[in-house]
Amino acid sequence: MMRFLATLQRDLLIALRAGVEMLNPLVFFLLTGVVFAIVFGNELDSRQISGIPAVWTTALFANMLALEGVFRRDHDDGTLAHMLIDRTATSSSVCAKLGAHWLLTGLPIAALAPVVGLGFGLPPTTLVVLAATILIGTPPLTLIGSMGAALVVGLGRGGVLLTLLVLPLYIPVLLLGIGVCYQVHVGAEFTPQLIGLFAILTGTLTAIPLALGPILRVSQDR
Amino acid sequence: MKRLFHMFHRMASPEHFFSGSRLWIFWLYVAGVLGLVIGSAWGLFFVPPEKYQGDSVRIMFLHVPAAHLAQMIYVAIAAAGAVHIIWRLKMADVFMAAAAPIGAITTALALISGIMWGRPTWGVWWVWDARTTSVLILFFLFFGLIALRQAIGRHERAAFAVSVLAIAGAINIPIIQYSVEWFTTLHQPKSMELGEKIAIDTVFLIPLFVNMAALYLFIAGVILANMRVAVVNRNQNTSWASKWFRNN
Repeated sequence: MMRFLATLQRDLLIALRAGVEMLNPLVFFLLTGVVFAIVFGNELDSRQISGIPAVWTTALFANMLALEGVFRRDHDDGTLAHMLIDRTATSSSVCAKLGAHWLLTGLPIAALAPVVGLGFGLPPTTLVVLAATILIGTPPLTLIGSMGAALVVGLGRGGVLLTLLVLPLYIPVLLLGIGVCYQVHVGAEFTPQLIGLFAILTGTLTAIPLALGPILRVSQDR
Repeated sequence: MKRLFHMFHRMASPEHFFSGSRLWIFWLYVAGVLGLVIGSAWGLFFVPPEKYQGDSVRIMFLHVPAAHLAQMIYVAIAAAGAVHIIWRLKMADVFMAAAAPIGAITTALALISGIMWGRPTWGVWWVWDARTTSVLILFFLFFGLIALRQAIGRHERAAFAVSVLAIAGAINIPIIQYSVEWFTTLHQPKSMELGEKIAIDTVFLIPLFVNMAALYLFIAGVILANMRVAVVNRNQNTSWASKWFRNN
């Protein structure tokens, strides 16, 4: 636990010191959301319907773009190798890194989602649900994506490849998240989709941290 | 039985695989091509038009085997990934490398034939329902396996990463399987289930089964041939491979 908190603090501190770089995913999210809102125009009905998937997809891309660098810096300066030497500590420090990543992208993106959603003329309840589903949906995205990031960490040209690898696995989360928002928006039953979203959250939260250690270890050997 | 296991275990050795696979490939090709010709000709010329779909039902004789095979290839790749992670069998990785492109092609075949079947029966080329979407994802998963291997470059190093990705992507297989039962879709539900009455008339069933079995054999042959090339390429420095190169 101590190690978890220490790594978390360290990663947050590094991000804070790096300054504006920390805000890049958020600005990306805002900007892309605004672009979508602009191109969809002022037709309220169609803009509302397309607003939910547009905000969710933009959140997903912002999360994924930030993921590419989640292990890179530590890999380059050798910190990651040290995290992997002590096998008992690997999963706690890796989890802390992912936690920090989520605190810096998922959480603020969820907070900003209603603002972007306003641009699509969405009603207040939908905005709240949009933020809530992004809050539940981004941890699985971070976890699934981290697996891809761990696979490509030593390769240098990770960006496009990472997208290729993880985007197919992201689609269920995306569809369920959009599903909940849409059902609430039209006033229909939304529990099945919500249960699915939580199932993915708990499933990825338990399984993926265990897999990350071996994956990173093999990527280090390259 | 013991001899069968012995033969099977010998196949894990690249050298024995290389010499032993030659005849297998030949006969798999012969049986596969023969079966595909018979099954397709039967389906095209000797099956009556279906009551509602008319002649377009004949697309089924390609679409169903291709879609089934595409999933089975992925299952086999994921299983090979597990085998590679657990027992570090080199041949498991050779199989993964050889089967991924074939899987992508088979999935593309299923998708394209599905698109051509969708137009006359559903009235649209494509719908975003659970079945079509999950099969499209399958295509991208195959592509991801190929791209990751390409990016890492050397096979010994790519093997573990590709195995992990293959196993992670296996989550898509049950989604494809049950997509027509869990969700309301335009795609029809299963017509065949083990131990239950089959909802297809025997007239259509026979060429379908012939084509299905033939495609299994043919694709097994293609994958084996692909593996053969990979095996001799990866073992260039061994004495048996260089001997083979000298003699050919």
